[in-house]
Amino acid sequence: MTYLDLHCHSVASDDSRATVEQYLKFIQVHRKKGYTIDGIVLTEHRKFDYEIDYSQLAAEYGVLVLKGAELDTRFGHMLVYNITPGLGKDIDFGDVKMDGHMLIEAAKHHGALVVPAHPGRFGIGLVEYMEQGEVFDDLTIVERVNAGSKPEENQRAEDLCQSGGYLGIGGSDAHLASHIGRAVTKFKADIRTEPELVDALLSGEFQPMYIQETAAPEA
Amino acid sequence: MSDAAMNQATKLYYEDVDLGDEIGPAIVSVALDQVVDFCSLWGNPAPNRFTDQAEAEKIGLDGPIVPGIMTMALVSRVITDWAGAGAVVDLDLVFRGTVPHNHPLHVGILISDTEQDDDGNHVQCDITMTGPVPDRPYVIGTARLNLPSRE
Repeated sequence: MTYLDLHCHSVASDDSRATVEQYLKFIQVHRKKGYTIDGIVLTEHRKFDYEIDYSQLAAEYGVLVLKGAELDTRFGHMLVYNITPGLGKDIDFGDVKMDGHMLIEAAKHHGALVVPAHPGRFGIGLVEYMEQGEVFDDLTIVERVNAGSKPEENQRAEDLCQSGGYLGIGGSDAHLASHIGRAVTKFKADIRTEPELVDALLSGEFQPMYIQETAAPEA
Repeated sequence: MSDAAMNQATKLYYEDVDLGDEIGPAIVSVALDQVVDFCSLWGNPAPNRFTDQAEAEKIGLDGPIVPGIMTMALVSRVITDWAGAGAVVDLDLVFRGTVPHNHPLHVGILISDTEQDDDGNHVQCDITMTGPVPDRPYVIGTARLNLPSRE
């Protein structure tokens, strides 16, 4: 079993104020409270750093650190997992008006997976575009629990999952160290790498939850 | 922590804070006449988008807003009331929404990093400013403090 925060931003994103090490330090605070979080997936805005290696920090703090991205599309923000150089060649990550369908197709071609972020967010979420008639039968998973969204926005995401048959993940959308892990995804599988993350997502055996729900029940 | 605890009279030491400690929220609000005074001192006299409904609406706002640098001053004062004069060495805020007038503003401080080295006793605080409902914040950011040590 693996508990991962699938959506967070380090200082590599222009609007974040947390370093990766500060996230890993703060996860120790959660663990002292009895909460479970095994790792994080960094999803920087509009970019992906193929070279940067967090394995030493990850080992020091006992937290898995994986890398993804949150890309802007004309259908809202989309999280991308298991990014490869091939995907980077086919897609301009800085194009804020890219066609989301094209991104989904390219990701699939390269073994990556696209999950719309905060789909219930007013004004910018996927639901807005669906209400305008856009169809997303090329998606199977959306971010159902986003700890940075309003309760009514997460409710819209949940309604979308119910009505559209989408599976849902959870992530903190942290931009500050203390916000890391506020929402996570619990996987049945043991995950250590980005390809394993995509396999686990495609398996459908996961559920989103808030950090408080990860506490082991008292004996 | 209560407002009384935030407005502590005793000096704050590095050993008094722990990673994960939450302070506040302190509740502040900003009245129109305060914004008018601030703008006058700042050299941006009323009426403007910070003081006047019509001027605010001209640029697409619902109403007049608290100026960003005034918000920074408010946050700085809340931290200083708690940590003591001279403790704040850096304040870095990200505005994620507009800050309204005449509205309770909840300023929360959370200790997100601590580190001692030859340069001092460093404490990083995560800052959030929200309305009464802990919704998406108007402002997020960090403050870096340097605190004295008892050792």
